[in-house]
Amino acid sequence: MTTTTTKRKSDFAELYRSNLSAIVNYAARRSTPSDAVDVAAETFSIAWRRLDDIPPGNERPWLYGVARRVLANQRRGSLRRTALHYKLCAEWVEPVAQIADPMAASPLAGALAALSEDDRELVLLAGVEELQPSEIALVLDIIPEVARNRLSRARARLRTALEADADDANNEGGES
Amino acid sequence: MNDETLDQELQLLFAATTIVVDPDGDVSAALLEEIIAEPTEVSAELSSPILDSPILDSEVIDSEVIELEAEPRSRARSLLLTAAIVSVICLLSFGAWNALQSNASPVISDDGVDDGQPQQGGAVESFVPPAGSILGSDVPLLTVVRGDEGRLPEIEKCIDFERSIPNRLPSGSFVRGYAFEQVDGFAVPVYVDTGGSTASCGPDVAGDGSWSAALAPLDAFERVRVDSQSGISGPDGATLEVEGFLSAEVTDIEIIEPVPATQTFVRVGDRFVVVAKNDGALPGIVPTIEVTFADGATLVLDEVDFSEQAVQVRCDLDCLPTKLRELSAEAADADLSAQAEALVDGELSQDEYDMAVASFTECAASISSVQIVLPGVFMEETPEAKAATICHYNHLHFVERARAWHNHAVLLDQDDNFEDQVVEEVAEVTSTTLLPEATPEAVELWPLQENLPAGTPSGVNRAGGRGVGLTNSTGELVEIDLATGDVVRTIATLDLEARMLGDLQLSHDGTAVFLSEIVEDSWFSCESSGGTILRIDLLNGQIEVIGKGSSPQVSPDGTKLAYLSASKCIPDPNAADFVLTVYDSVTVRDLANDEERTWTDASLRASIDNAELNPGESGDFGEAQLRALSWLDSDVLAIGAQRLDANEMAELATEPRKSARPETGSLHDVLGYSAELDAFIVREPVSGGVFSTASTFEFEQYGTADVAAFDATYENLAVVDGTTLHIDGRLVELSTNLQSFDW
Repeated sequence: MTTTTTKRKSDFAELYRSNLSAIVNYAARRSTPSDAVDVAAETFSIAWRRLDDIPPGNERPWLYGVARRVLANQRRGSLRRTALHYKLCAEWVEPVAQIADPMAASPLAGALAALSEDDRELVLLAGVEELQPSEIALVLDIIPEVARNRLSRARARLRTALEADADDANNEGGES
Repeated sequence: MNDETLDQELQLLFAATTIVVDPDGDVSAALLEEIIAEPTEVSAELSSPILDSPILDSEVIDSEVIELEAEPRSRARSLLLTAAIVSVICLLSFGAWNALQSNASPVISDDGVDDGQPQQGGAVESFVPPAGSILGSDVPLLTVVRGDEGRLPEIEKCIDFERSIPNRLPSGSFVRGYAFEQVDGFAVPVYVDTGGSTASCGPDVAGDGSWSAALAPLDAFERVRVDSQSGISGPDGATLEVEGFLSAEVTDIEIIEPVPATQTFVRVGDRFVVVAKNDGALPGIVPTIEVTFADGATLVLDEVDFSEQAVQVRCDLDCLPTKLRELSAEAADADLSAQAEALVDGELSQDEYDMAVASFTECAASISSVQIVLPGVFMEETPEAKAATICHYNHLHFVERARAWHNHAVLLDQDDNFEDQVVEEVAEVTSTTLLPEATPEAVELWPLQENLPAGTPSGVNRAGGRGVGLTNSTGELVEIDLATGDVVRTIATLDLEARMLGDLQLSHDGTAVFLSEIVEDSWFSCESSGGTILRIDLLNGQIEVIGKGSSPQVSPDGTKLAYLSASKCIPDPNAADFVLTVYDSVTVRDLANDEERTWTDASLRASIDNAELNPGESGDFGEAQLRALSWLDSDVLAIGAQRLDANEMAELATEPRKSARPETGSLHDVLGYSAELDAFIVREPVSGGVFSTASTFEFEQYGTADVAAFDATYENLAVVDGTTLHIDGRLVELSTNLQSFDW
């Protein structure tokens, strides 16, 4: 059945409004805030072209999958196709850029950085994107039980890394 | 720290960098308007230069191109939809093929009702295909049919098919294969590929990825046809089965490439199966089959491109009485699955491990070719189908774990000397029949314009302070004056729509650039995966397709071009609805005579396997693929390996060559190797949030950068950040943004 242009546009606008913030921040946590703007623009451009392919009910995991590939396949320069880039940055990113990053040297940040990318993705999908294991399973195309298990192990590794950092800090303190 | 506290800490950690987006704000609305103003074409590969490439005409088709009379689009869509649906049915029923042939094609109008009108076929003729084409030279065969606007009209039906099928498939089911529809006395081989919630289909694609054999006479497929391939690997080797239909005149079928250790041909009525066993892993390439007929004639078939994931819908409900299953069942009952997982991954005793491997072997032997017919494809999901899907998942999961554990055990048998391991993925270009016997004498770095005939338009004069760049918004290939940053001229314009273009690689004489193009569809469909290597003549702007692959790299002496190519495309195990292209070979082309030598996955595999990607982690590591070529000198090529199923990758990067080792981390772009520094120069990942890495270069501490490129001497690095060009200690303001640059 052919979707009318009006219906198509309204469907896409709903998809866009519902997911724009999530996708921008998903990308921002995996690139720079400035690049995230372009990743989001590119991701929704692809979504527009492929609107009929997006699985109903799983729109956001599908968008995450596209954003992940945009991040992986395109470099900074090639992303800046939209003439709105600088306006978008000004509206969205500048306030963020002005915020100092007090947590950059935190033990948790260090422990996160030490995780494998898979583990980090699981922990962030749960902790930051606030997805349930069943939703994570959709993103990663695995069964919920496996998602739950892997998440459990990833969190365990994160805790281990945190404890190791704390031990190191204590030892250094003791030696000095 | 419990899970809840941990999540709260994570949210606090990222709170400072959360971008507040008002989706109804003016700028957001403007972006929305900009996006929906774009065209919505899906099949971008259809307008790819490769369809118009002389390569296809000369090497694959090498014959007349038959023009079909343009069909009304609606009729074409309904015809193709019919073909696709019939194809799936055919796939699921071994007896359907004969029935298909005996019945006239259904004629269905747009609303799906038989309208009784004859089909509009089109002007079709036959010709004898060139040697090496998929059905052999003794079979009359038609070639690619191009409809109006250069498009394959059948594709439109497939798009409908893709959109109509996914929601009817049980979650996790997977069907891949060939089937046929009758059009004006010719069979249209339709390739069907469904996985998860996606599906795709299209005219038959030959094993080399080129479009060919869109139509073939019916009798071509009445003699022998391969329907499916399935395989499974385990500790004791791999078993591969190829099965299909054969006519009475066929006396033998043999897999001739890759040559298995053993193979058995079995015939049952009009069905056959060839069971092959290998000592190693499943072959990652398309098996080629030789068919022998009663009169002694032979026919080589290599049209089936099924990877080991091809027939994943296979399971035997009785195949799982293993230790692993018992563990999982017990754990599920007690909701202790995490504990079971931990046991499997790290705490099984040797006896338990041995038992698991033995059980896995038993399981593998019993499920080698059981294919579940999915009754739920065109009807509501039945309990049986649901049970089959669950069983399928369980089986795959158990097998994955058993394999992972097996690999882990092997690793434990080795000295853990990873840190000291020198991994130089080297494909030495030695004397071969394909490459020059001797290295060319002193290479002239700057064969300048005086060698060109008078009046020839200027190429990029590398010594004269010119560079070549690709603009990021318009796709224009431009020549840039490096003194002023001005665009001197526009050389060519490339289509950026739904495409990713790679780095520019300027030829040594400054008269051409090489780059790779990957269409966005390659993320979603294997039919357009692999990428295309383009050569653009800087003198006249002509764009030439020189091969399929990605990451072209010109050797330091300018005589060779290396690039990666892929023979496999598989469903992405980590992301629903996507596929992964597996780059598994490296080709080096002699630019003087265009002769090529290719190193395949098999010849590189041992070294790649040494580059273990996640040292210290049990399980979860997957197959590796090649990535990031970099010439060490004009005879030695460094090849990075990347974990297949994740962005995570290990590369020869950031460390001096003598201690180069794989690193686990995010994506790196390798810019090149500096002999002077004995180091790979890489661009590290751009990372926001709280991860500390910025976009930096090891070579010089550039804070951020969009693109960068060495000159031909590898002594000077130019970096582009926005519209600022850093070069030779100077800052030059460019008149345009660039997504790629070389000089």
